[in-house]
Amino acid sequence: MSLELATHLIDIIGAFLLITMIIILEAGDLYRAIYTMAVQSIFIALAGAVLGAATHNTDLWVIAGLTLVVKVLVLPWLLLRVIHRMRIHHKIDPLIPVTTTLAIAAAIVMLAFYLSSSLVLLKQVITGNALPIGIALMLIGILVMMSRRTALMQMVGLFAAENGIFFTAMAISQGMPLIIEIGVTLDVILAALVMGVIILRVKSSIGSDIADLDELKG
Amino acid sequence: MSSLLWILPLVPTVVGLAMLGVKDRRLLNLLDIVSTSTIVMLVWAVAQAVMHAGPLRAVKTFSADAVTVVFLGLIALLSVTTAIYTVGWMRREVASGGMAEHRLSKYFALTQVFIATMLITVLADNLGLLWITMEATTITSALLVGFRLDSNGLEAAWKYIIVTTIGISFGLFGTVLVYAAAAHAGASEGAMNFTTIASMASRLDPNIVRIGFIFIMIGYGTKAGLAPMHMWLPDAHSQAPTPVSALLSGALIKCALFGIIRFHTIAIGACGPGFSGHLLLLFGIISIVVATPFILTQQNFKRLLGYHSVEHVGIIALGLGIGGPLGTYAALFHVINHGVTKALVFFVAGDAIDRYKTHTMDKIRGFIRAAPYAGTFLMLGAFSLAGTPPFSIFVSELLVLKAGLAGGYFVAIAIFLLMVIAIFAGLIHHAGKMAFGEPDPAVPRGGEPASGVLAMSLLVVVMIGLGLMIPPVLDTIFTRAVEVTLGH
Repeated sequence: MSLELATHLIDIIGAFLLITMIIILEAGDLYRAIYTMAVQSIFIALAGAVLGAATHNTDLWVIAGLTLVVKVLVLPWLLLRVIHRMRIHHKIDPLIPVTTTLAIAAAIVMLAFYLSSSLVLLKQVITGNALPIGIALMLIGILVMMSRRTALMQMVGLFAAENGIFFTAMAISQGMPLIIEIGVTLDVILAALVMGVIILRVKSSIGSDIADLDELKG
Repeated sequence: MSSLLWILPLVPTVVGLAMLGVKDRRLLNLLDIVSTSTIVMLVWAVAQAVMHAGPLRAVKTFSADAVTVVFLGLIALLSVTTAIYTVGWMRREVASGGMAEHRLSKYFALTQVFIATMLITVLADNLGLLWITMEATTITSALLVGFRLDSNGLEAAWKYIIVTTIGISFGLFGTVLVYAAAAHAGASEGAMNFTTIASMASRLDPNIVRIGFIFIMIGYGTKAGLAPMHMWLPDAHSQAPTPVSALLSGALIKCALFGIIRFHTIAIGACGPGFSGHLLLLFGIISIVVATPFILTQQNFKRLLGYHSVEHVGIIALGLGIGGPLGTYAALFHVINHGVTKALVFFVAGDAIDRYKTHTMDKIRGFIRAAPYAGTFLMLGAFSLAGTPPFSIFVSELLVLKAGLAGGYFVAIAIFLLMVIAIFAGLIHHAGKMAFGEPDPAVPRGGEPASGVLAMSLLVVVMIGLGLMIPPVLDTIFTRAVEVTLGH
């Protein structure tokens, strides 16, 4: 695959990543948010494969495979299991009206592209629009976390935000060292497990969503 | 000698795993002390090697220079004193039903692994590994923060893990950007290693490094408890079991500062001292200012100490931001001083809270009568935290002041002084009300565990000793660490 074609494909994948992120942001249903996160991760894996083919870096293929297993299968499965164990209803009410969050998201995307356009040199180092899209995904992920008072939705926002970082990291001309990617992925799984344990513990002993607890102040 | 670098974190890891099979409390305490004393000895050996033969490197992933030695020393000292303190603390905790006996081995094992992750964080030469273990410290310590499984503890653990995980994702992004800059500048082998990047820092693209450093500052700043990203800190540090609070406030937030210092060095090389310095200065001043009103109005003893950590991390950032040899020296010295004092005061707070069965400072009276040792240490610790001589914090704060005036940062220094004076008044008021007077007759008197008194005495000796004079060995280490930080 030529580098030009790869750049083109990466930009298309980037657009799909943004679209999935917007769907997560406006999702009123936990299942939809989790499935969309899984789809978003498929695009991340695709990006890894495209870049692997273009740069002949076999590490990227491994990373793509790892993403497929961990972020497309394991994490969504874990989140769905927590929902199942909690027997919660999966409709979620955003704290901020969806129209407002969408407007903020649009502003974030424009800001990310504006900021990166000033960095001419980075264009040579990072393929296509991976940098602005990575920044935008990360910030919108945080927006997802802030606009919902549901523990599981906060986790979805967190993993979606991390997808943004992974995307940018892959697109750096050299790619991240494989061992570091594996370590980061391991951290993500461990963090998800600990978060799941805390959520379930609170649900079983206190009977409420951990994100609703608000006793510690001042 | 360089094999020491990977043996060091291996010790607590192996002991931690072994602890999972041990049920007896005394044996667990013994293993805890043996492991942490071994760490102290190994750190001593590493310090010797670094002083005589220069920086060490091992398996291309670990390295130790003078900056590492400073942080290793702090982690080792606090680990061993915490292990000693835990003996008496745990006995009381088990007797009062606060800690179920069948969960003891888990608690001790987690603490060991937590210490191991902190050690790897400061030993990591690879900046990716630095990030990975930094996140691992969050995961292990979040379990410890919520270890009691009560609603407050779990709420604090949740906030802690969610906020710091999202926070340090920014750190990963910054790391990726700096790595991209290094890869672009032609580093092929070890483009993620601090020693490689620092040695070629002047060839990195300053624009990329600047953006990268902003992400690092927000990311690791969240973990360090710098305002305005500090919201999780008072919750986590007040809800954790006391020995864990001491490690979190004394050592862990310093590890995050270590991450910032590494990137500060790279940023100095790539864009000059101005950019990262000013950012550090800004976050430092914001932290000091934001913490002050909360310290003055705080009613909860351990939360008060949490906000104090925000203030002191701010002072360290201020010192680094003022920069130059003197400011950086002051900041590194303050890392040790604050760590030692904060662990001491948390130990005292643990005793007071168990004795009076309350976290509310208004309800704690006559602590010196009830517990002569801990009560005295409370006053010493409070005067030290407030920055009075002859305690070590006074010296490092004075150095920050001198560096600031010499550098012409008059506004920053004026704000710093104003806040420190306000905090002094507030803190002495709080501590005095707790220490003096007649305790309620229902409050148990005496019966202070020898282990607790020993642990606190060790810290007091360091706290006063460093206030009176800095031993030449330590002075050399700090001076070298300053050179490494400033990239000389």
